[in-house]
Amino acid sequence: MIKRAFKTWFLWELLVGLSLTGRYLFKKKITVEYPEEKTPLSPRFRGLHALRRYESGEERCIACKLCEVVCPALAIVIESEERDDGSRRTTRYDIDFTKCIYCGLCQEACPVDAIVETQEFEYATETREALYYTKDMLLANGDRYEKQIAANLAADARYS
Amino acid sequence: MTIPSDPKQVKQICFDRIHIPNLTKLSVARENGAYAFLPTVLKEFDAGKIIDEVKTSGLRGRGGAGFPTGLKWSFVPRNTGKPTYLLCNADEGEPGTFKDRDIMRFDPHLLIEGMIMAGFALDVQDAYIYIRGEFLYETNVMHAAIEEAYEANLLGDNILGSGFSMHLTVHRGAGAYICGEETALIESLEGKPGRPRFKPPFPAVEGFYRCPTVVNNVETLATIPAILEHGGDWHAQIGEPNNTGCKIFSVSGHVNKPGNYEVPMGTSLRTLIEDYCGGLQHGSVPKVIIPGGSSTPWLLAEHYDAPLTYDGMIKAGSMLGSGAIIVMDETADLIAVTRRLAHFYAHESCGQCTPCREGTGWLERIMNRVEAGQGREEDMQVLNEAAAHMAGRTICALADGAAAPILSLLKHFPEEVRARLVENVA
Amino acid sequence: MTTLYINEEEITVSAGTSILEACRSHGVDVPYFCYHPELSVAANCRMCLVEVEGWNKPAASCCTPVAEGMKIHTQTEAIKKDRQMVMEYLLINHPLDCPVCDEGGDCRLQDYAVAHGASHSRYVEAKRAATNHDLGPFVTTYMTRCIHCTRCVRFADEVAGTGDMGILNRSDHMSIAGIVEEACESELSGNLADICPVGALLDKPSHDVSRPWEMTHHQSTCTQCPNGCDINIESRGDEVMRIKPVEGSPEPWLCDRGRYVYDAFRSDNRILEPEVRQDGELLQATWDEAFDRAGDLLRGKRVGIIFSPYWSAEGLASIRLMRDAVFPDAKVAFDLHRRDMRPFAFEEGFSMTTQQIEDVEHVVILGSDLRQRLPLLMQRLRKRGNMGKPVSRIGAMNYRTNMSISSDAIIRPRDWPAVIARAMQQVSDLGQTAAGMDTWLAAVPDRHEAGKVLADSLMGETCALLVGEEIRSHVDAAALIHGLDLLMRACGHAEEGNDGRNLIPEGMNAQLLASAFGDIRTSAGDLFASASAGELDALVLIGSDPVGDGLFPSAAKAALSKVPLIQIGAIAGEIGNSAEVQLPAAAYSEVDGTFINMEGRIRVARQPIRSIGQARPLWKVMMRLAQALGADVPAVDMTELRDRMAAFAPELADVWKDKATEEVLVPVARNRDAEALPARLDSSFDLDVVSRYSMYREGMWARASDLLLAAGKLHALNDVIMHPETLAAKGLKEGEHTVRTFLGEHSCHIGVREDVSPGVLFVAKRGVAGDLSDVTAASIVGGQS
Repeated sequence: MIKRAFKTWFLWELLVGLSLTGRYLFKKKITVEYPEEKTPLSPRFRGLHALRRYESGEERCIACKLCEVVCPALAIVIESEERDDGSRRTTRYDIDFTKCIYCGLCQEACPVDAIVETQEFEYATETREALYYTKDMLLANGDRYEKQIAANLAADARYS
Repeated sequence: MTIPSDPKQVKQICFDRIHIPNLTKLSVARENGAYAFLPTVLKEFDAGKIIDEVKTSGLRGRGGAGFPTGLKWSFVPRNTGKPTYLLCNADEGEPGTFKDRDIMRFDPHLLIEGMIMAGFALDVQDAYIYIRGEFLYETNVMHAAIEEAYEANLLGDNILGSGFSMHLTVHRGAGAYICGEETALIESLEGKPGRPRFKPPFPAVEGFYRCPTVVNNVETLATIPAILEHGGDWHAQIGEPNNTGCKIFSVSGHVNKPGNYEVPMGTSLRTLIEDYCGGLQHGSVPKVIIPGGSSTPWLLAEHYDAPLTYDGMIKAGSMLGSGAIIVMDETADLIAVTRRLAHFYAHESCGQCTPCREGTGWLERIMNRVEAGQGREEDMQVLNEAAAHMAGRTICALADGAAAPILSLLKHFPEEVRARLVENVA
Repeated sequence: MTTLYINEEEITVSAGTSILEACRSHGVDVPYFCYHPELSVAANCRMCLVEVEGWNKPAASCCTPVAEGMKIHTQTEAIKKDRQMVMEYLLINHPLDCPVCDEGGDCRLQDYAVAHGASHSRYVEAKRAATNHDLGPFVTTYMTRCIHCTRCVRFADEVAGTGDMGILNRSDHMSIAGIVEEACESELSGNLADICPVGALLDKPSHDVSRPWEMTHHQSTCTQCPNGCDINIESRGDEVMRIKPVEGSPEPWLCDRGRYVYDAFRSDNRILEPEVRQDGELLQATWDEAFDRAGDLLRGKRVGIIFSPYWSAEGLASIRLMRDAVFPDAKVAFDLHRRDMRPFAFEEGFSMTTQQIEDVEHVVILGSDLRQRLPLLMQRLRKRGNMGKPVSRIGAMNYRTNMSISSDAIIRPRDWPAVIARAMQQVSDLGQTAAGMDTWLAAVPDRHEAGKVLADSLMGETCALLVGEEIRSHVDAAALIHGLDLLMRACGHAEEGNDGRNLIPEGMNAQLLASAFGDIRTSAGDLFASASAGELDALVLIGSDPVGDGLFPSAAKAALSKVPLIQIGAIAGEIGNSAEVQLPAAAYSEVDGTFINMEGRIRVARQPIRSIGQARPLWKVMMRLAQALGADVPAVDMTELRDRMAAFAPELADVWKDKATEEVLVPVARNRDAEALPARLDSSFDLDVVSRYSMYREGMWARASDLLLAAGKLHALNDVIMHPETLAAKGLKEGEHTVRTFLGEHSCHIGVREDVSPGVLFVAKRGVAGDLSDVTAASIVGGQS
């Protein structure tokens, strides 16, 4: 009875709660100040897609359409034809990022490591249309992130 | 002929008169008994009697497979409305074999006489000798002998007034080993690439131009005159039961006197090599003996006393084949030998069946690496599996032949191969 | 019959069957590459190995016949290991480039590698390289992928009859090759890509474009020739990628015309919207506007209707219903190749099935380039020839057949009566005759030796006559065909409903056309003549192109300059330039339709591809037209239409009620009183003109297909050809000459060929030569005569 009155009149629960707050106030911070600071990303992080090229500048994609058929969200559309030099190439390679679920099956399926997912995740747009990436945009992504992609693949190589 | 009529005294059949000079001339051959018995055969024998005599004689095909000749002849269907063809297989290509060559070179009339008798038994109008492309000299000898035989009415229409007609043509092959296989030979003779046909139908029923065809080895046909002259029973008493008669063995390799030796069946390897061939060049027992041409499995010193018969060789784990005995002593580099044989089979595969076409090439490439000291740990297993799964899985027996040296090497001398692989690793 | 055990299960098959066939017929899976049910056995892939109890080595099941009591095992460990090794052998030199190979996803090698192969390769040596070959416009090659099963070689030898593929070299240098620097010349070349079990031979037009798993499959019937093959249309979305034969259908192959005509389905020539001519230009309009305009042009007018037989049976029947409702007096024409419209005793179509034709003792081809006209029937005859059965031929040219013809004769079209009379003479000399034969014989004074070929074959136990375009387009066709009927009767081949005379029709649905239009049909030439003479006010053309096809191009051009044209159809073609109104109708591949082939075989397409643009099935357009012209609509839906159609061919009703199509054949209609005696043909021209048929050019669809046109150029001969001696007799040589006909004078290049009959001018249907198609006789101006 007295104990209960004591706790009531001296706001004991409040003090307990505030002490927790106080503890965390002085503890080492685990949040980061995004976007100035960023958390580290795994080499396996699955972000924005990119189409890669060989060092010679030749695009890797051979239009086998395995990524298209494996895509569970039906986000990839490919059309292909025989290029003048006789090699099989895409004439169209579109990914609809409003559909994509970033499962990574496309890069698993790719026999030539052409379609990969980069660590890039900051590509929010103001319109839905802008999330419809064409072959040129994906190739540009590849050119932009090639260093990062190659490093990630190298880092992950021994586990795959 | 002058072969003893007592079978116990018979030492040679095909080579009985081969030492006589100028035997290729018809006159010389006739002086020495050629065609002496032919008129009797044409007059007094009929097809049934000839085939019965050959069956009684127990003669087995001398080309390699050892199939009873009389039985083969009895399979030929009669009165089909189609002509029957007799083909003589003189495409002697098996590495190590050079016996038929001597018969054709020195005693062509023996072969011709045998073919006339066989043709008479099978009611053949057209017979062919398919001769190996490299045998240019022998081809010329055969051509000359046949021409003489035609002039003497031993060939052609109405032979010796008997009413039986048979024409004999020599066809020279183009050097493919596979054309020694009877169905490939038929294809080649028809003018097509030499690729074996699958059986059935067997050539006896559907062979040359889809007509009944008998294909016999030179040595087999050369034995026929003696059998008909002395009787099947006589021949059956030479040699051993089920392995009757004499056989020519072409001995090569590390012996002092390599060459062709005709001996009664059942003579042991040791007797042949020590008594006839002057023994080995090095050592007292051979390291490896290939008893029937390069396509047969290898025998080791422990089989030195095995009898040279079809059954005896099977019992020892190999085959009598065409009787080409290759002897190798301690000095032989077996890996080099195998590599060379692998190259031969890879080169000669006709390319039809998958296991042989791809397998022979694969084996050759691995052997090339192994010999050059670039072998890998797993090569032994790959060689073993790739060779084992070729044998018996193809249309003809070339794949079996290609597998035999590799399998023998790995079975009997795994340590030598492993040592070569280890050498590389070190 | 032989009883044997497969995997412990007892089965009975006919003696002589191979183990593989026994397994296949009883649903036991045995993998194979080189075996093909339609080709000879090669036994070279060794994938089909099985274990036979008591045998010391595995047996190749494709070439081993079954034996009584044989015990076969297909799934033992040893056999699995053998298959794994065969796969390993096959793959050591294979490039393993499945991701870029069109066969990937539909590949025997790939499937078996997964099912029977090891998970990795132990091969570390260099792989073999190979050279690719030019196999024509339809087949592309990647020879490194070849597994040397020789299916293509056997196909070229046995089916195509061209023999232009073969094997070079031996051992692992062995390679499959075409004839050096020459394309595979076969009208069946498209099948090569189908029979190749790997990606070595691929379909060229669709190469590198699509993947097997993207395809939607539609079953339909090809109407490019009267054979009416079952087809499997593979489309990706609305785009047709490939046409393939249907497995298990009567014809295992498909000709290049039927296969590559799909190029036309999406061609620029398609009529996609209703269009109306305004100020000399065709402009897009609504359906209502178009029908209003058509109504203005047609209402109460004298109209001629010309249509193509390639429509579905429903479409054709609706034309009759529309005509009865709004133009009860109008004449129709559907045959652009017949000059003589008198009825025959039996209407067009076959009185035998193709299987019967394959089996009979004698076959005679009378005046037909069968290889172009009916490539798959030709293939069946080739199959006959391979078995040693005779095929004879009489015609104006030794048309190439890729088989050996047992007896052959070349004649001029004007010789036909004399040929038939010669045959009658021989038959009656042997004491066989038929009522009316003497009269017929008496009407022909001449005898032509070629008749011996015909008579000799007719004397056989069974005989099939294939009567082709040279007789059908003859000015005296009815008399010739009556003569053939008399011959068949005299030789005892004419039985009720099966007289062995097979008249090759122009297109599909011949039986329905005869029963539905028999009373109102006329020759297309007569219709054009009436139009030119001002007896008609308008022409309605339904899917037909009389300017590009047939025997009346000049007459058609003249008529179209006189009267307005309403064009209804799928392809506009050249003729679209003169149309006042164009109405789109769906292609044969785009409708739920019924089709009847030359044998009377019925097929109902139930999964068509989607039609494009505003195209509607023809019967809907017809009904709407009837409505626009103020009549009561004869049928408002498919059920009603089919009820009306059953009157024309009652057999169709059975099939619509799901009766098996194998059980029903639509018989050829019979006219009891069709007798005609040969007329004396007097001509002031010394040359007979024969218009040549080309499978790559004939028909609006083929001409709209760039693929077929390109292939046609490979096979093309000179536009006008003659026998060199005929020219030489006039003191002339190959070159530019003036040809005089009843139409006037034309200048054209005349080429020479030894294989055409002397006295014949062969013309192709294009350019200047196309105009010559109208005439049956001509002479060359200049030279001595």
